[in-house]
Amino acid sequence: MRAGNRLSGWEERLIDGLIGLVSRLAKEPDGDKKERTKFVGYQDLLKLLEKPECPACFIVRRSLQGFLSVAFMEELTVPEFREPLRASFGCCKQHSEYVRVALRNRLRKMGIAIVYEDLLALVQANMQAKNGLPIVSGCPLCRLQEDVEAYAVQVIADYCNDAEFQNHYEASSGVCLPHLRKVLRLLQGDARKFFIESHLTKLETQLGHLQEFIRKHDYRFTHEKMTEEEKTSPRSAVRFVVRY
Amino acid sequence: MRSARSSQQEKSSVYFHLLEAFKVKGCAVCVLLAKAVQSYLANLLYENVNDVNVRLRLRQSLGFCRDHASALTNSGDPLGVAIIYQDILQDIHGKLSKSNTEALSPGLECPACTYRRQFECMYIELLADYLHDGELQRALHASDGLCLNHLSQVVDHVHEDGVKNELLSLHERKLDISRKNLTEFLRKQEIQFRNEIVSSEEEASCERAIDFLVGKND
Repeated sequence: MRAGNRLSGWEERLIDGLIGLVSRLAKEPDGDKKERTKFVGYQDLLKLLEKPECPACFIVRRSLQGFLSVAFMEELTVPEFREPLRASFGCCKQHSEYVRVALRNRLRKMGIAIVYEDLLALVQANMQAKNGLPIVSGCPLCRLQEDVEAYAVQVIADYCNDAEFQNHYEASSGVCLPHLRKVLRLLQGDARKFFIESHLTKLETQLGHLQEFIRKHDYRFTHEKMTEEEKTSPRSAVRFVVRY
Repeated sequence: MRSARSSQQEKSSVYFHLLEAFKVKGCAVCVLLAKAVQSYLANLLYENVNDVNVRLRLRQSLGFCRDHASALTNSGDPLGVAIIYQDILQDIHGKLSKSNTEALSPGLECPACTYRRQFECMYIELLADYLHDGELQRALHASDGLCLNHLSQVVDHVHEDGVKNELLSLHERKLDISRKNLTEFLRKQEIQFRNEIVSSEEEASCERAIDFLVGKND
């Protein structure tokens, strides 16, 4: 997974940890979720805040990508990976996108071909047995995403009282709206106040960029140069409202 | 009723759209729905960005779902996107400043999803009604077939066992071909068969299997 991705040392460490976490979560039966040790270190979290994307989205996306790359190469015969996939007749539409991305790697493509040949055979067997047509539902990656997301949101909420974290958070682009809602549910008092105020400021900045983007499309001001933030403001606004 | 609908005079433009869509790779219903959503979004950006009712509706749903928001940003009209999302962000800012965090969840479904579902029902019903039609049958046989979701919906709309069984056995044969392509792709990855050329169908077999199970994106 890391080949060709040019990850820095801390990113590699973080992603290795995330893959381990997701693999462990995938193998834990439902209703048997134990207290997990936090491995996203404080420094890693601060570095995540330097990225121009929601840190919770980053954690979820990279963990699922990493998990799938390992799973399609090394866990093909592991029942904890294959059985939930068979039970749901594959991943949902959203998570199938991760599988499509994993197809770009030849070795993973072989693993995916093995898994999907089996899934098609399963659908065919259902059709022949006149059991009716199966529907893809109960995607195991959705359950996994929920777990990783809850973990990521909790990590962010836990540090919200820390002054250094607050400084870094204020300078960052913050979390997206779906994760903002989730973090706010975990916060009370000063931490909650800080989080709301910080996001109000971020929204004002974003609105300012959007306003300038719109103004500079007016024929009277088209000669004015747009800043990078203004140019990307429509996409950033969409990214804030719906997580990527 | 059905024979009357099948008559050449009554065939609507939707029927001909379906015939055309069967010539394209993938599930014909998915192809038509993707087109419908694209034209809905293009129309919205071209004509309705400043429509008061449209803007109110978009505020309530907090814009679009993830997939359709992504389609919107790739539509090539960033100014329209900026106007729509400036309004939505202003609304979110207002709610957040009142600490009304519960109101930060979408109150209505993504409008593109609502639009898509209406078209989906129309195509499914029409397809189920015209399964007797020779021209449509030929087009369906020559096509890649339907995805699992749309096949299942069409089957639910067909009441005659004969037609239903024929549709299912056609898709079983198509599944056989897909599985053979996957198996051949895998065989040709083995060291002793590496010299054999992987056909384009075999190369695309994984992608096609995913398309069959979950359909194509809009």
